[in-house]
Amino acid sequence: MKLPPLLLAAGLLFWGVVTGFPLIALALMLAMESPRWIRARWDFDPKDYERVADLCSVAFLLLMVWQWFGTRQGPEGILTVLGWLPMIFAPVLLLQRYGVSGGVPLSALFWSLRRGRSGGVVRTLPLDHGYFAVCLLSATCANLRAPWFFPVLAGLGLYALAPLRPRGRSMAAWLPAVVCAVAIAYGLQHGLLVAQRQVEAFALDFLRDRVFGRVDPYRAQTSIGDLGRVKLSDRIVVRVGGPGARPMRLRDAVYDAFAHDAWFARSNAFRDVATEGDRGWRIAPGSGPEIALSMALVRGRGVLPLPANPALLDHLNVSKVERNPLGTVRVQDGPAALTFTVAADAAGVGSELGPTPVDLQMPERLRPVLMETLARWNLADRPGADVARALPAAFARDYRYTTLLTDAAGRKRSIEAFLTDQREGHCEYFATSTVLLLRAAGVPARYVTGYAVREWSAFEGEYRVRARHAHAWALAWIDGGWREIDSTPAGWFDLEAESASVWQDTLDLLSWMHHRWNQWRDRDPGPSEGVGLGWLAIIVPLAGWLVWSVTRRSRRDVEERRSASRTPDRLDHAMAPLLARLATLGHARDPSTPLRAWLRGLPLDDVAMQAAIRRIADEHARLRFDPDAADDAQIDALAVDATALSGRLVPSGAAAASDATPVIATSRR
Amino acid sequence: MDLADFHDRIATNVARVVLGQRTTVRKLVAALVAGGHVLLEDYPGTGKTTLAKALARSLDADFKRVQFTPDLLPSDIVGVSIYNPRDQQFAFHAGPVFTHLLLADEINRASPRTQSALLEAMAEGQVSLDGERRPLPDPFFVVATQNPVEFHGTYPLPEAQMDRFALRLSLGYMPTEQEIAMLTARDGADPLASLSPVVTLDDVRSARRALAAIRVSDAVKRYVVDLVASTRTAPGVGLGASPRASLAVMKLAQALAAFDGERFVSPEHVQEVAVEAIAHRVVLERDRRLGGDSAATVVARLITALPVPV
Repeated sequence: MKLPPLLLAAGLLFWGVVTGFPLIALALMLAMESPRWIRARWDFDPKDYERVADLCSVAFLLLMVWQWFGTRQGPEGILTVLGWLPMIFAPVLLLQRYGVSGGVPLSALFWSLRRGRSGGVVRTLPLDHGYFAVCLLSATCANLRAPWFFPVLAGLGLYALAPLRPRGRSMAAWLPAVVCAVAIAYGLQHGLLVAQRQVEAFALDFLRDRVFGRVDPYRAQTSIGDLGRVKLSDRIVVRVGGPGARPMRLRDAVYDAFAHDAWFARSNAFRDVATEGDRGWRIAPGSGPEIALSMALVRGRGVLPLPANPALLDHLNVSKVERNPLGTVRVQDGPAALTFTVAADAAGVGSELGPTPVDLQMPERLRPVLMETLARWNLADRPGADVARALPAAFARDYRYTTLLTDAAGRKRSIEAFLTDQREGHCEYFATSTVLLLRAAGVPARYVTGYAVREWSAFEGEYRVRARHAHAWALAWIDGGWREIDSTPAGWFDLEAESASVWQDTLDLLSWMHHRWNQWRDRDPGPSEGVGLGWLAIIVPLAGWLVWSVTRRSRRDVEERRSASRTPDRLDHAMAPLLARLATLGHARDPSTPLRAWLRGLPLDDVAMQAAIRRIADEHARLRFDPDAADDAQIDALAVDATALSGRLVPSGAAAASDATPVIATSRR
Repeated sequence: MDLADFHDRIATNVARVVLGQRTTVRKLVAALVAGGHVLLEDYPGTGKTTLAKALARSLDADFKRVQFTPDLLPSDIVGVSIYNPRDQQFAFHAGPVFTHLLLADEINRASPRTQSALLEAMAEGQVSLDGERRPLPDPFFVVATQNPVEFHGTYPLPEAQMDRFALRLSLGYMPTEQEIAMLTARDGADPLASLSPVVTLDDVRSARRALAAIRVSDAVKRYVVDLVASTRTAPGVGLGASPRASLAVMKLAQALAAFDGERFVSPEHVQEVAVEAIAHRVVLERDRRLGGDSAATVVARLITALPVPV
């Protein structure tokens, strides 16, 4: 089936307009349709087709890999590359359209057909239809929701299929059938769209319900009450570097209300943080040495782990920074790997919302236990600052850190049980108890989640913060400022470290490589560097491969055709003096007469001369037309003979006229 | 026996009967070695049949002759299965095509159906009869003759079937002296009867094998292809020569080169056989034909127009 005229051009135009490459589409249209008017065709070797097809395939794969891993698009980048298909595979079709065979050898499309090929019949396949289909497919990848898209698509499809129209049917019967088919197709794709939307909405609801983000700034579900081992992974979640002093802890979120074993942020209205010119995002007045933080963002947003009293965020590649009155900072539209610096005012008192009545509330059922605990430690009537100072020491003395929450006594795990008789638990117990005890003592207090920064990596030159370094502590309002009170026994960090996996080092290395790669990918590119480097990464290997394959081919060709291609030149050179001499004597060869036949038939008077010329003619024919005979030494010998003979040739009349100078009877040497 | 010797023996033997046709005999033997069939086309009485018979007698081979007539049937050539009532089975009676050398005399006098039966055998080297394939002997060589002017009761061979012949040769009227010599030779007994075989079937087979050793350079191959391809675009030509013509020219040129004692093909050999190997496959347009042009002259012109590789 032949392609209807200009269908390819129409397909390309459609693709170009939809995907936003109209100029490229125009160029391709011109290149593809020119063979209708240009008669010249090239006789490409099947190898040429294979090479170009390979080149296109490699380009396609590299672009796929690049779009997936090298840009921020991720898997969606594949859609982008699919939209480029007509560009990527244009060379193959151009070869077909300008070649004599009218198709692309199957061996160019299937590797399996390249083996065991023995110069037999080259089976070809015209790719016009396939290419046209690719144009349509690529156009759909642009996901253009214009009302004309579907009618034009259907029209192009109908035009392509027009040659298959049943000849026996009248137009009146055919046209309604076609319209019907198009309408059904439209209905089906529309139904598919509706169904997809509903499934998506359902899935989103489902995920929202079941899967929380890493940190929920509004609510912290604690493991209080759970049983079993609280086990967190070794995954590195934050890296801390930079010239500033290492912060002991990084705060994720601050909560002020406790109910049903969970912490909530009552003051949760996030407000935009303003930028301060080029200097970054200003959270609070003040300054300090910069600390560099690197972390991963899921879907471009998340809560920033920050040291206490952050003042200025810089190099933060996000579109929006928000902060709630409790001091939790979250960002939006950031890269998957976020790296930024934060200047923290170590001497500052913080800009968080001062104490509110909420900061003194506690569940009434807990009040007796809390008061009893304070009384046990003789802290019931002490000033707030003393209580805050004394609590960590008291916990360290009487309580034990564990992640293994057993239920030996058959009682439910709870804050009451922790404080009264179990007296062991993990940081959430300690932090929650501390906050509540402080509140019981009349000190406004809040609950903080975040990370402890302890593990130094000499290899990376940075502090690593792992998921299992997650920690919780308390903030207490003392002397007009929020002070951190961490009453978890100091040994907890070492206990956690014991649970490290044996694969940790390997995983750390991989994590580091991934981190570096992300950093490189998300670096702030110069105006042209981003695009330039990306294309360089694709073009340089491709060009190298092409050059390699071409030079390899030419090298092989040289080996194969040394005798065939170079010999004629050398032979021409060898025979040139003789032929020139013959020309001056008036002997001209018709181009259609073989040289040997012509030399043998020359009207020469001298028999010896005739014999000599015959020998030379035979030798030339042998060296010229026997593929196995090409030998440089023999060609040189022929050149010597021919040159010598040309010197002896005299006009036939002259020889007869002067007997005194007889023509030399030649021998071969 | 090398190929040159093979040719010389046959040529010398045939020359005892057919006078003055050395070049024709040379090409005829070349076709025998190259595995192609030959169509001898000339006026009645120019010695076509004699030449074919002389060649047959020079070979120690099975020889059959079929005189083609309008009422000849395919079964008269390929054979027929006849029911034998005694053992209640069909017995195959092989036709004259089951031979090594077949002389198809006046092939254009038989009906197209009968011609087709023979030409299928020529192309396939086998005969399909009653659903059974019967291979023909190896070698299988057909020399067909036809008269160009005998229009009454003839069925011209279609182009597709002309393409099956590697060569179309004509002998032409011999010069006066040779005709006199011929009369002298025929004074006594028939000289054909005195011919005895000079080569065996094994010689033919080994000659065919030896042909593969004759080298053809890329330049000569290209020349052959260019020459054949030029017939397809030549003015006045309705149907050009097929790639089968290129193949035939190359193989015949290989044979001629071998007859000259050379191990490679040069353009002279291609030119020597080009007209006879190509012209019969070329169909001229009607007005060209009526204008007195022949395919042979067109091909000869093409040869002089195409530069040879040097």
